[in-house]
Amino acid sequence: MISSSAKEGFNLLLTQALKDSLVPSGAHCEVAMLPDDSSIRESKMAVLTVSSYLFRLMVMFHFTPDAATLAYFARLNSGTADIAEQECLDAIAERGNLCCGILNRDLSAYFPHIGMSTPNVIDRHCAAYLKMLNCGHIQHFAIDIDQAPRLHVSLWVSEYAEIDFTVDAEAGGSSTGELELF
Amino acid sequence: MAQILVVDDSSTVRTEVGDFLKKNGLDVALAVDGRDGLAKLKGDPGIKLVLSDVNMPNMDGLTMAERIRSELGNAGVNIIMLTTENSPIMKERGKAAGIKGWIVKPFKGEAVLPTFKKLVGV
Amino acid sequence: MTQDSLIYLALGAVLSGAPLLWKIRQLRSRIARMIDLEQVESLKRSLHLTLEEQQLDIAMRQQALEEERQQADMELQQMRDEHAQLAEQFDLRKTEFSSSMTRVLENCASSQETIDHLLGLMRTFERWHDDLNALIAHNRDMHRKNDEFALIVNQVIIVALNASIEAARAGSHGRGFAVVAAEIRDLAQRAEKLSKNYRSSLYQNDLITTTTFQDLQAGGKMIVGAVIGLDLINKKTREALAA
Repeated sequence: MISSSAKEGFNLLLTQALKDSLVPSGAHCEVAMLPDDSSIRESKMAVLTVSSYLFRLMVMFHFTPDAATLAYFARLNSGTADIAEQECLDAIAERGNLCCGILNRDLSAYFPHIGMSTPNVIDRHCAAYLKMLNCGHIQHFAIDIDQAPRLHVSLWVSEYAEIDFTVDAEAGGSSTGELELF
Repeated sequence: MAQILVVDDSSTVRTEVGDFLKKNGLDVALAVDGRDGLAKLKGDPGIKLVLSDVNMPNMDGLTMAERIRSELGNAGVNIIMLTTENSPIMKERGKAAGIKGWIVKPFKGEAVLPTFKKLVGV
Repeated sequence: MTQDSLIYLALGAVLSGAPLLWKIRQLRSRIARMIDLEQVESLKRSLHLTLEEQQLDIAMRQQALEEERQQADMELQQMRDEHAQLAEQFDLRKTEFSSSMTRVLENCASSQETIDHLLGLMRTFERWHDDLNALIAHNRDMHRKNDEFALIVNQVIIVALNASIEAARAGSHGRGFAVVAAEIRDLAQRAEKLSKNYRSSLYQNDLITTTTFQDLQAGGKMIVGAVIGLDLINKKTREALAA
């Protein structure tokens, strides 16, 4: 059983992580929650898992490796407007990694023992079998960024015990990019 | 002779960070994991700064830092971790291995460039 | 009596009376000054009594003081004995403490060994990472093979269709051939269905493999993180004890 407070917490933390990782600095970004995945049509998805001994959480970044998407991720990763499909997959995997890294860090404030996987790209058709994983919480998101194609992200959480926590919405995101000298 | 070694299993990161450093006049070498990083460092004594990810296959960044200290022993190389991780436990392990600093991704080049240049002696 | 004798008598009375009077006056004042002997005696007696009482009091106090002094001496001796006992116990505890410290340090050392073994788990996770990457590559391979198979099956269906058309053209001569062509087409369609079915299974397989692989990876990192935490605590404990 995942409490409604915990569900809201997962949604909020993922939303913040998405904003911090997918958006070029300064750009405006809207993250909306979708009632179901009927509007998600992209052909592939990059999957990442965050595991604690209490739950297993999967984040799926849906994308179609078409011209618009390639162009967006090329721009996001500094300069060059043109990259090959493999590099695009790498770029998407890296963004996913960044996003989940932030999510992993934020969740560790509530769940001290937690770990993250590396990303893998699988076909959209695989999503049909996610139901077999008995997830207590499923949420789909649509991200609208200026001058970018609409991105879809899904969150699936399977729990192994009662999950209940409350996220302090006021708590600032962890600072990134700064060099901490020892 | 490279001045900075960038170690990361993601080609995107290697390109992003490597290109930025090159654009700012620094000589850069790249490695894909800890094992590769150790080998590249041994092969090029001019490297003054190692910028490394933590989570990599074949040898993670903190193990590489520990090996650098135990095998190369020199205090001439500064190691800075560039990673999504922020756990105090990992930082403790890094400190014990003698690393110089920690940066949480995403990489913001402009902010850290002056420090990098100083560490490299430019 | 003559007047002169009267005068001489009066004079003589007066003359002898005056000193007498004076003497009487003196006596009176003397008496007044004299203290009552009885009073003196009683005063003397009461003074004596008071003195005796006071001396008794002093004696009693001296005795009480002596008793207190003896009591104090006893207590002092008791305290000295207790102190000696405590010192003995303290020494005993000190020995016990240092031997339990030794035990604690030994425990820390063996904990360190266990932790080092657990950290070796990281190498196991590395192995899994490589093994499971191979699994995913294998899955991709199966997809490819199945897709190739599906293409071949599609070709067979087309060939069977063409064969049916040729058989029809051949008229009655082609009837046997037409039957064979139809059977081939049926088989090919069944193969096509199977291939589609197999494709779905492969997707299911992909999902299970990927999610399990990632769960193992993430779980492994969590365990390693916890063990490293233990390692640090153990090291800090050893440092603190050695100090």
